[in-house]
Amino acid sequence: MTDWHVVVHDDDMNMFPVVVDVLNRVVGLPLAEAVAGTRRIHEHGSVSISAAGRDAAEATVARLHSYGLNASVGRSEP
Amino acid sequence: MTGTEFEEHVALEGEWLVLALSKHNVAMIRRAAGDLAASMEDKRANLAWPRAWRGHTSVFPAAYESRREQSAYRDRHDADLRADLMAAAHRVIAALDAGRPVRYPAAAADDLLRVLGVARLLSTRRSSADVTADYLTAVQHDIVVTLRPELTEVGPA
Repeated sequence: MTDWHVVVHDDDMNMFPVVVDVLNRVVGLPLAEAVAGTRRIHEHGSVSISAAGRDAAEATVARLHSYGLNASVGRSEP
Repeated sequence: MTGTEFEEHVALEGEWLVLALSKHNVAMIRRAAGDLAASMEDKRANLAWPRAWRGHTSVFPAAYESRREQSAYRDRHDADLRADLMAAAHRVIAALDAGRPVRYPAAAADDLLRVLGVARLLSTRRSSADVTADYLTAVQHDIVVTLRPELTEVGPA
């Protein structure tokens, strides 16, 4: 079964507190996970921040785009 | 912040976010929000617009590498995304036009965060520096840390 997830990409535009805030409030990650996730994005360039069905992953990506964040839909094949 | 002696700041006053910004910078945000609202309208009805506006979908990064999947994704999400941003931009414009200092309901601060966040991408790419984009980024940051002071010191490990 395909595992759909949200991939958030680093850029030179978005500031740390803003990314943490969006991951926390908009995506729904607990604050500690939002902070850790933002640090991983900064360190690794892109990070999968949540796993979900395809519809949920797309909806989250669209929400992230609406804040000016760079995100895409990823998938893991079995 | 930009070419002015006026000291700018963002504050929370009760249920209102108060942005004390220079006249010049209010005008800069007003212009950016206006451009965003215009660019989010149905591009097919506005072929006379500048090329950058007609290509509004470029402000949104690709959700998929596959052209077919990206096209289907746009069919599913693009209209709602554009409509929401356009409505938010018009609400922000109304607040900017109401005079200084700019007052906005704190509960609706996401309007500002989204409008500032996407409007930046009309004038620059993610990897490029741009005076307007940098200013919008700074205001977006100031709003977040005003509403959530606990995030002020959050940064790379």
